[in-house]
Parts: sequence; C-alpha cells; structure tokens
Amino acid sequence: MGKVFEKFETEVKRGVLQLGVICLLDKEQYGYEIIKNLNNVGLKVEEGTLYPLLRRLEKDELLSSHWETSGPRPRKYYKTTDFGKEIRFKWLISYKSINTAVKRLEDNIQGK
Amino acid sequence: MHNNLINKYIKKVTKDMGSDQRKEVSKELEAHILDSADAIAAEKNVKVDEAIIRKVILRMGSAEEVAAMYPIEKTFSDKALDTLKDIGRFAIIFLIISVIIWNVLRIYIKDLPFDTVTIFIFLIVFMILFSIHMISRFKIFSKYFKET
Repeated sequence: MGKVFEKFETEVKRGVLQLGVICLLDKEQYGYEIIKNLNNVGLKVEEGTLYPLLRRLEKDELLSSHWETSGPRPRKYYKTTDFGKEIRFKWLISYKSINTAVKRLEDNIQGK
Repeated sequence: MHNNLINKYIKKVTKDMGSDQRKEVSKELEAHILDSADAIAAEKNVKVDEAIIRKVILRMGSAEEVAAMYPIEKTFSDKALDTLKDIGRFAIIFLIISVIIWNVLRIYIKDLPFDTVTIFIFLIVFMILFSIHMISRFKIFSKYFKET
C-alpha cells in the first residue's frame, strides 16, 4: 500500500514541482530558500529532487541563474525567464483543466 | 570540518557528469548541505556536528538516485575524452584480434607476406570496423538525449 501510494505521489509531484518552481521564482532565490518556501505553501520537496529539477528547467531556458559570492558561502540564484513565464501561463491552464477533470471523476464516485 | 562526509556524497552524485557540470553541481550541493545543517543546528541551539551532516545527507536521498535525475550535459572536450578512450580500447582489441587472425592465416598460407600492402589492408579493415562501432555508439547516445 505504502509503495503504491509513494509511486503515484512521485509521478504526480514531478510535474507539479516544475510548475511550483516557475511560479515561485519571480523573485530570484537559491536552492535552500526555494525548498523552504515550497514547504511553506504545503508543497513538500525532497531536497535531492529539487537541484536536478532546477538544472533541467535552466537547460530548457525556463530559468536563468547566477552565482552570488558575497554571502557566507557561494550560492546559485535562480529566476524565471520571460520564456518561463509564457510556459507557466500555459502550464497553469493545463493543470487547471486536469484538476477539473479529476474533480468531475471524483463527483461521479460520490454520486454512486 | 565534516568535509569528508560531504565530499564523498557529492563525488558519488557527480561521478558521471562532464567536468563543467560536475564543478557547478558540487558547489551548489555543498552549499545546500551546509545551509541545511546550519538550520538544524540553529534550531537545536548547537554547533554543526557529524550527526547533523549525516541527517542532512540522508534527507537528500541516495546519491545514485539524485545522480540519475540530472540531465546529461557533456561538453565537446568531455565527449572528445570519451572518444579517445573509445579509440584506445578499440585499438587494443583490434590488435589482439589481428595477431590471432595473422597466426591462424599463417598456418594455411606458409609464406604470408608481412609487407606494407598487408598492413594497409589491416588498417582499412580497422577503419571500417571502427566507423561501424562509432555510428552504433552515437545512435545509442541520441536515444539517451531524447529521453532526458
């Protein structure tokens, strides 16, 4: 039961997390901050999962980044690019329509 | 301080990365582990110790799993190095096989000439086999690229 649940959650979260990150990063933040802020809104992130995801989003040019070396330790800051904002708009629409569909399916269960 | 523990983990994660990616990812993960450890230590009002670092690393998940999530980013020089290793490996295998074939042929053909023409023929066969090998290798590569 636990494993089945986890597998589903991992699969769903992969997509949602990408959306979460490009929504969050209108203001630039570094990895640790991103994890904290996503946790604060209720999106639990496995710490090792976020960094590869940031790298992928950056490679796809949805995020841009730069190193800040003036703090206590060097940190890589990320920000959503203009292209990222365009995609975000589309992702949100797609996510909402999926949500609506699931809601309808759920209503059908209860209607029985 | 606890660098050994951190380095060991980061090395495992970045093992198969190209050199540029390895440098950046290492720096970033190290900063994360230290930030995370600082936060835990501050919460407990203690100094960062090995147990805290262990806890942070455990929370990040297994190095192999984290490594597998990263996109493949190899630069031209990384690929060149891979190719050089490939040529070396292939040349050694080819030489061994050539010597075997040469000796087998000598059993049947008593006065087999060891001249430039024979060497030339062997070289051409080598080039053809190597080309086939590289083409199939890059086909495998492009499949990986599509997946990531």
